[in-house]
Amino acid sequence: LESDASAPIEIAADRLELDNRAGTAVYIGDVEMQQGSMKLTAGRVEIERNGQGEVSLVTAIGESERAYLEQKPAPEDPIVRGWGRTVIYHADQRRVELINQAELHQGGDTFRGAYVEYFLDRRQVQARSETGDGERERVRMTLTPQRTQ
Amino acid sequence: APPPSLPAERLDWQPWGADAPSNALCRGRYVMPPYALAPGETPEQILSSSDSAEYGEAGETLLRGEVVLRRDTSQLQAPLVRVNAARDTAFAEGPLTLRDRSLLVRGESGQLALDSDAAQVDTAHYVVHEQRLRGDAQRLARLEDGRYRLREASYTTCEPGNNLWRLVSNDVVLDREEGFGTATHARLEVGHVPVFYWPWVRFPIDDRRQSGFLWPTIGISGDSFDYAQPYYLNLGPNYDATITPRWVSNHGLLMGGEFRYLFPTDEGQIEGAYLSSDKAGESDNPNDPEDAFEGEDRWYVDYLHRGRFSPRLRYNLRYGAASDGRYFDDFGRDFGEAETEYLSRLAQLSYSGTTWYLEARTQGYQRLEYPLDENDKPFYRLPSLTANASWEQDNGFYQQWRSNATYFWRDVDETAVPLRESATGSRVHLAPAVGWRGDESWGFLEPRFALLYTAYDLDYGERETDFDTGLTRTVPVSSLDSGLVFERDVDLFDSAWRQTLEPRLYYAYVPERDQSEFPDFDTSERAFSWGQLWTPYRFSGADRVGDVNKLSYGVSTRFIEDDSGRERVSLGVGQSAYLDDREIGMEGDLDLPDRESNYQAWYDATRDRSPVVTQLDWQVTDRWSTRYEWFYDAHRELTERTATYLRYRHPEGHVLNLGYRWQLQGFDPSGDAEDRLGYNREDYDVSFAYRASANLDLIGRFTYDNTNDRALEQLAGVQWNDCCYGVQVAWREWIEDNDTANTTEDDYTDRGIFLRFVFKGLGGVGQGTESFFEESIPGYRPTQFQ
Amino acid sequence: CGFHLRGTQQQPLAIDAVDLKAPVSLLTDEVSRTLANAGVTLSDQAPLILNLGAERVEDISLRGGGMINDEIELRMVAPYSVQRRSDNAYLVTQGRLESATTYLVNNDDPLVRDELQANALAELRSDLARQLLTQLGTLTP
Repeated sequence: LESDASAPIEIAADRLELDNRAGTAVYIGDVEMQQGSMKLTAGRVEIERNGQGEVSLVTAIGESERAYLEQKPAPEDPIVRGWGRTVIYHADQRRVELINQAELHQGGDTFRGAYVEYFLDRRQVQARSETGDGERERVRMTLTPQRTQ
Repeated sequence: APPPSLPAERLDWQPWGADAPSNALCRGRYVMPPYALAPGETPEQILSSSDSAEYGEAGETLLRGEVVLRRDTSQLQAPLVRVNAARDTAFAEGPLTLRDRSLLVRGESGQLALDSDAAQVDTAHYVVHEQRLRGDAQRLARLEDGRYRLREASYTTCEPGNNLWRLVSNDVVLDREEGFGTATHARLEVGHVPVFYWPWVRFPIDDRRQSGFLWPTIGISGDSFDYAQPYYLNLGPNYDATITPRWVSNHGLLMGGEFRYLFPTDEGQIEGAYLSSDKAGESDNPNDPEDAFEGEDRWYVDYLHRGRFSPRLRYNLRYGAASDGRYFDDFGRDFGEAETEYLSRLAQLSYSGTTWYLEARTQGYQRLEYPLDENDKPFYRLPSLTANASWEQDNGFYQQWRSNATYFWRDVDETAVPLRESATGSRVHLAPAVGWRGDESWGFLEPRFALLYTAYDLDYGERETDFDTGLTRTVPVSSLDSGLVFERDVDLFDSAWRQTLEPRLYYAYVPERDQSEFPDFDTSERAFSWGQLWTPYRFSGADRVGDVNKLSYGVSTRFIEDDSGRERVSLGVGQSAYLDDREIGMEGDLDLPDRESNYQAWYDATRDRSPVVTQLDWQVTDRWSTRYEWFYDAHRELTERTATYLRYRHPEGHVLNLGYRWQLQGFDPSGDAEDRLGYNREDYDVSFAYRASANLDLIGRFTYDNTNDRALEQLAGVQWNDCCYGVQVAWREWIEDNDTANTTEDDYTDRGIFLRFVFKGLGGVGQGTESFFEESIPGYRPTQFQ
Repeated sequence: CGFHLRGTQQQPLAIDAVDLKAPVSLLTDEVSRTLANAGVTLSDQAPLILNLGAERVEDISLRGGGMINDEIELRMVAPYSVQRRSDNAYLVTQGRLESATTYLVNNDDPLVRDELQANALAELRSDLARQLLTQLGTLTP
């Protein structure tokens, strides 16, 4: 939802490590993060904050399972779900990157591939069969005919 | 014009390697590769695989890089596919491949509907695997209802790379459900040379009976050129028609047609042809007067209908007629102008019960002979009522009832025919019989007694005669048949056989009855044969009952395979001892034929021994078999008839037949004087069919009349059955004896070349040469044009 | 020379009942009569099912050409199979009866020609029935 960006962030994890780089917190072990309608689960989550202390970058890395992110783009839209070995959430751009074994379920469509990028507030999705580190997985999509606007 | 074709490997074409099946007609086959992507759970679901996928600004979906899109049974492959926002169409930039069940389409660009079966491909190249169809089109569109529409398209069934023929048209519609295609402004190109044009044509695209073009039959016979162009119309699921305009150079344009219908309990067909004002080219028959039919209308019609009210109650209708007796000599009936002696007319109702067989029929024939002299006109049966029955009791007694009542009539000048054939009238013939048959496995005994009662009510019309018109004849026929069966096991050619030895003794007595005033409606004296030994009847038909007092004796031996019970060898030797002379001949009077003027008849009537009959049937190997007949007159120490046949049957369909027959003049007593052979007959015949390959059938036949040193029949035929076309060529030269057997002066030679070619997939095959080849070569089953 | 009267040594026909399944035809009547004469009862509960196909006749003019005085070879073939009712197993799958005869014919008179053909066909049918009986003789149900 639009209100997500300004919603408070709750995080639960086995343990917390502060990274001396300015403002980077690293949560390890069965991490669950929630901000408004957005929810994130992963084995390890790194949160960077900008000068004003607002969250600028969230990097979630799956351990035994893939990292998972879900979010409700609009009240009447179905929940959008995304998986990836690594999930990066760019707060300022409201942009999410799902990297390696990426999978996105959005509005009846599904994307699978090496890399999927999508924008939380826009229906903009981009899937590719390569990622920077050379892992390859062809993009496979399931399109449902009556896609809700 | 359609775009150039793609090479074979781009069309799913796999040439046969060493694995070519023996009956393969084509050099390879189309193989549909497996789908690249599994289908979705529901037919509506669309799956894709690509290097990248993204939503565009306008909500469309863009797939790039070796894209595969799968929806139900359709699969689209292209470098770029755009699915519109409405998700009802996928647009593909070429080069694309569209597959659906057994259809392949390659093209430059196209679109696939996602909510229906519609699709469209531009600069398309298509293949329909099952029907071996391929072609190219500027635009190929699959319509909602599953039909295909092609613009500026070509269509052929030839293998890729082989452009022997193709149909080019600016608008082709293929309907796979119905199984046919239609094309407008269609041109047939043979090797890229246009040879035929239709403003509109309908053609079948699978082997269901479809309308479409049957391919022309061309004949060159005598100096006449003959071109027949059948057009086949599938009018409904169970009836069809063929219209055949035919141009015969020395006669004119003949319009032929055939209509067939098939229903669950009855079927029928009517065929015919009509030529108005014959140009009367001279006939092949030199004996015919010149330009006999100039300006006359020539036609024939032949209607046939069979049906049943119940499995036991059947009826049969037939009506054939021709404008004149020379119609079929001039125009022939089908490929090779096979003989058509008669056109039959029949209305028959028959009931075959377990005990009774009842039949009512009216029957007649039109004899096709020109000129036709009066006594050659066959009698009509208007009607003929038959009732037969048989009862058997467990103790072996049996009773049989045979009865027939027939009114014989023919439209003939009574004064111009022999007296015996000049009457018309009715005949009632009753033949009750009783007998006892003791049937054991080791033998049988059968005394039998029949009482033949025949009554006539005749009308001689204008013919003056003192013959009685009301005649009756009652004659008893008694016979005693007996036989034993001996057996032994024997080992021969390293397998176990059972050999039987079956002696047989048969006595028959029929007293003589004066039949000198009796007519001759349907009777003829039978030629001597193995079967004649064991029957009291010397005549076929009921107008004559021949007196006989004979004792026949014979022995047969058979070699039977122990495991299957099949007879490999059957040899029989037999003879009749005549205890009295046979007075009754066709003349029916009580005195013997005159020795000086008719020695043969006198000798046959007075000889006291029949020829010794030897008959051998031997299946030498699974493929070779032989038959041998020999009739030897011990008294005159000469052979009256001998026949030897050698048959070869190969499982793959090769066939060879060799035959030799020698027969003394007068051996066959049937027919009028002009129809009995005037010479000893010695014939050779050789016929073969060779399946040179899956494509090539060669057939040939040669029968030679050694007495008159002439070839009666020479036939050579080639059938080339290729992947997308078939050619049948036959050359035939034969002797017509002008229906006079007693002289060869009026015999003449007729010859013709017959050519027929078929473009498979462009025309129903239709009948034609298969039956002709099949009827001339014993044992040959021609390969059908699939 | 080893010949003995048939039947006295071994059972001639091990079958005593058969269920004849065949189209209504003259061949079927002839086969039924021959089986009955040989003591085989026809019943549709019999343990053996005899499927008799329709006769196929090849009618060839041996002299060829357009000869009024001709000789015809008539060859009749009929397929048959024998099944055991209990397990539908086939005792005979490719059974084949074949017989041929030749007869002289004068095409001058169609009434005579039809009668000669009818007689020749009857001769072939009785030969086919006799062959069938001999072949059934080798079966033990």
